[in-house]
Amino acid sequence: MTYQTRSQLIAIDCALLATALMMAAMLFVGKWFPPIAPGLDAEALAQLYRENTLNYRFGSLLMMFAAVFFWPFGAAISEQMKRVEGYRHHPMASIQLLSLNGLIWAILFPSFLWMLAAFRPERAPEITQVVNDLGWLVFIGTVTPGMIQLLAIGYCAVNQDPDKPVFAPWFGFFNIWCATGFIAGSLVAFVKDGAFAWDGLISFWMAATFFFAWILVTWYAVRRAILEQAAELTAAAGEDAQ
Amino acid sequence: MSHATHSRYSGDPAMWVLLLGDTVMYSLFLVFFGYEYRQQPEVFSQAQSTLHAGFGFFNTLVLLTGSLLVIQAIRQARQNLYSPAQRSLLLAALCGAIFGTCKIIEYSLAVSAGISITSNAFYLYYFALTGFHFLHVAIGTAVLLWMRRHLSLSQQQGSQTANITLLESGANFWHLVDLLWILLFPIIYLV
Repeated sequence: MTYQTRSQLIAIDCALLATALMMAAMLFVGKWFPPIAPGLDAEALAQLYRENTLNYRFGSLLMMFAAVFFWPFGAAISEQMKRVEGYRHHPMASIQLLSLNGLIWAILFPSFLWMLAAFRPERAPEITQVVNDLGWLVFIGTVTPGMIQLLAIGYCAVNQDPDKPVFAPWFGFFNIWCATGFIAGSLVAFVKDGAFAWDGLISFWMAATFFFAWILVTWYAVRRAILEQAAELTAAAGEDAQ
Repeated sequence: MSHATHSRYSGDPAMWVLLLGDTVMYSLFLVFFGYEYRQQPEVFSQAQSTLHAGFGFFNTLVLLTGSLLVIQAIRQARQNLYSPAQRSLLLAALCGAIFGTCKIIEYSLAVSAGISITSNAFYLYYFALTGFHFLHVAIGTAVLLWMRRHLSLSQQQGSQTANITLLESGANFWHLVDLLWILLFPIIYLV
């Protein structure tokens, strides 16, 4: 296996590591699944932070480790997009990587805020509430960078040469669909309960399903593209040797 | 291998991921809406009665007219009647613009009556779902104008160069916009 195949496979498989770490942080360590209810009053919230201080600190730390593995994942996606766009001018591959940066900060920054909220759990409850709110609003409410990222992938994949496809034919429209699905999280600042709240059926459960399904499907589709590229490279090397 | 061989599907078959996906997503939205309706039926039916169903009904007719025009445009494009097809698409895009204008008037009437997205659970769904759909109409209208441009560019390069599959994909998106509204309208305005 050549260096370029192996390094791309390492990068793409970071998606699984990121997902596993994020799941572990949310389900077991931080216990944010389901999320802290937005309707909780300041005193009850402060009590929660006093009781789960270490869970929240370790959970946030783990989320920070999870988030960074989306960077290699994004680089692997862009490498394959460049096979569609070309290696000199690849605007969609660049847009994908840049907007992914925004998405990653929407995981890193809330983790840091939850860490901050758990730093002095004995402080005035209203302050803990502000920091906690800020964390959740950024975490669930940051839908726009992800939308641009997925639309860039979608545009690139839909416009690939159908005779020499890099991605599976459905992959482009799948990304466009997921981009519209992310909109579900856009109303978190308007309500504190119900389906559109940050712990609601639409804004949390549906958006989380879209997010993790997108990661796994993209991991599969891009990984397949990398392996097909590797097979082509091997075949070309064989021809050169003759 | 040529992809010009005509498929049994209308448009790019891969696009059905988006078409079916969006339909499933809106169906889920409506299931959640129905669930919350049953939680607080008085609030929902009272709020529902303040909506202007007339606007909704008129807009349904507008979108259906748009869909008919788009079907007509595709038929004309297939027969290489590019100029009439462009006219049909422009009229269909006009339907999108009329829909949008009605929607803005409807929202303004609600706001001037003191209603907002946070007034209660019903209005949250009403503004959110019709708002998401409004976004679809805006994108759909842009797609229709882009299809028209594609036809006019093909015409300049000599006829029979338009990509019919591409046009059909665009038309399918418009039909999706129409279908989603036909799902939303009776459930949000009438039931």
